[in-house]
Amino acid sequence: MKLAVIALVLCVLPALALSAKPPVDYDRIVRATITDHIRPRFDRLAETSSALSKATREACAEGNDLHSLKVNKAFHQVVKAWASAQHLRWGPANKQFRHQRISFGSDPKNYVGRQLQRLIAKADPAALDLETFRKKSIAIQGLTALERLVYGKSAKKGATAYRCALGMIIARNIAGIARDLSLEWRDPEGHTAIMTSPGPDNALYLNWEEAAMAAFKPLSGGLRFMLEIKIKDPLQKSLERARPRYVTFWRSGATAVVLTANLEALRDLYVTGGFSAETATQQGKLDNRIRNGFAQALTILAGIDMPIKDAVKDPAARAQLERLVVVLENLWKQIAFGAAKTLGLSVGFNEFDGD
Amino acid sequence: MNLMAIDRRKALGLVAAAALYPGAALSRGGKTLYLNAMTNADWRHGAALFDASGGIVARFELPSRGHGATFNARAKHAVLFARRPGTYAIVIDVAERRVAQVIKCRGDRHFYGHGCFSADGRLLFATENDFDNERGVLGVYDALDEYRRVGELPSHGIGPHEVVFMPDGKTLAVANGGILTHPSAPRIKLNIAEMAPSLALVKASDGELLAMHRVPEELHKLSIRHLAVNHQGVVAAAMQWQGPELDRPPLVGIWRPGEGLRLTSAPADMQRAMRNYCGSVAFAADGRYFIVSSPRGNILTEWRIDGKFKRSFKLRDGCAVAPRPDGGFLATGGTGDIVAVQKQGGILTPLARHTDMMWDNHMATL
Repeated sequence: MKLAVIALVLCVLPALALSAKPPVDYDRIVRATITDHIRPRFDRLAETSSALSKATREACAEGNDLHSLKVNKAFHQVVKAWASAQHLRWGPANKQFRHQRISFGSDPKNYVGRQLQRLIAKADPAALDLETFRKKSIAIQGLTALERLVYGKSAKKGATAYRCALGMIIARNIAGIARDLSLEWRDPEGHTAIMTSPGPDNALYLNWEEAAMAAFKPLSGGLRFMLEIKIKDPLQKSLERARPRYVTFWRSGATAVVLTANLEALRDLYVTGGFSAETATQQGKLDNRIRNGFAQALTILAGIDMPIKDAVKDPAARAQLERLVVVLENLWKQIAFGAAKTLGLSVGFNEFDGD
Repeated sequence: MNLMAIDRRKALGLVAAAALYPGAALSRGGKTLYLNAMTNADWRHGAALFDASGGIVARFELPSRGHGATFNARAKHAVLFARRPGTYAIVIDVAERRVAQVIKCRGDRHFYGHGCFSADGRLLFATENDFDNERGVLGVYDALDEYRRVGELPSHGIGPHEVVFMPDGKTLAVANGGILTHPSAPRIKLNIAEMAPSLALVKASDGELLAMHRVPEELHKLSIRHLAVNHQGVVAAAMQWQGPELDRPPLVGIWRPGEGLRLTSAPADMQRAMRNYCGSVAFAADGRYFIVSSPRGNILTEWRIDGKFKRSFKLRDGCAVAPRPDGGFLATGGTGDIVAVQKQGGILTPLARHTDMMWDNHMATL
């Protein structure tokens, strides 16, 4: 660990410069984000997860084998839909731990595996009741648990009725949460009403700027999360230290799909949410750089011709991922500092990740 | 009870030998300095030492985001911990303005980001995670022996975050967050029903649990994270709500010797402005009131020790707070701002803006 000491001499600006508020149509941003970005994403998640629930039901009826083509296809679609909505974690997704229950993320301590094993060993029939299941650990309620049942080593060791039933209940649980998310974002009295009626009596937002801030935060937050947890954690500092098992959804081989969907979703929020147009009005070059950053990152991702879990251990592919890190770091800066400032929506450093 | 066998006697002896003069940082002569971790626009991490007028005195580089710091007045050492789940802490020689040592965390533990010294400066207690056994511990380090880890105590809860020494010099107050919600890995009991944040009072000599205060059952998602204590042993606790954002739980707790943990709220509009999230807490030098930061709401709130809300200040992304020797507070923000909260008049005075430094959550008074 290198810890150097840098001696003082720093420029200190004496006063806090007050800049005039940029003329940004926050109202429009909030409405566009809800109508054109958020709602379609949770609708899609509800649709795909309902299909997955059906596929697991059929697979179990046909022979208690989750590792079927139908389940595989449906699973990938849900994972993609989830990755496209994963950054939208406030409001309805922040209730009842829905976000974590749909997918219990990066899990270096293997809670998902251990808790699943425990449950399967007990083969407790009570856990197969949805109401009971919902009260179990959040680690086993979502996609990462189902992924182990469908693709994990033990899944191939022979299908048992219990394992299949467990997969079925997980899929049902996901479908239920997804349906609630979709309905609640569509409910005109629900969170939409809160976001679109800011004011002194509003439960959360004093003004349109604050509501727009809520829509903007997932842009920088989602990018930072993807970068730190999904890319840098498995990549580590060197090839020797790389952690392929930290790679998101490696068992199902959906990693690239997830990363691509994450990026496309964030780009869509930026563009469809109206942040891009507002940035372009004031700082055309900055808007270009941000759009190019997304495009460049997606191109790099598309060019990696092996599973990401192998890529972190492959010298050439690793270099690609390292380049991706650089591009995303830059993109993040342009969003979190550049666009944020331009739009008058500075994201607080201290709120990236609570502690 | 959980000190490692060989080290137990030694650690016991060390605490017993401690000459007790608590909370002395501000009472020393000389210039008061503050230590605050920060990150620059290139996402490089470090920490800076500055004076009461916000002028930077020294900068240190860190390999990852830093978090809380604590000061050893005897040795003139400041120890700054890595942000959870961190594996290092740096020891800064304050007089020489250099990193004197790097403390590495045990392989099967990680730091939570806070720690405190015994009054005699001999022992450092750090909140740590014994992740294989899913329990919180307090690592004990000997400052006179190159911060060798001489033992550990149970924190009596999950996810211990901030730990402070009580003025009796014998008791540690620990905020057991009870739940961690970092999206990457809520590394603890994942069963929602089991979340149990607590304020634990722990005997520093042997880890005995002296008192345990939990939040009421219906508020079990109210994570107790940060603590401050005054000279009378009154503890102020700053909470973070892990539930839906529309709920309005109390976010501040007060504990007095012999009493339970009392939760308190600000008036409705202020409570909303705090956004269910407190980042840091500090007592004023006279111990009669304390300040709580709510960085998500861009607001600082001041409270009396009887739990009455006093007043509030707007500070963009303001989080780190510390007392000024002459009353009032110093606060920093992720914007690079260093401001003074005046004792009287209820105003914030901008002192400096370091645009290349996003100040992190906590500030230690040296």
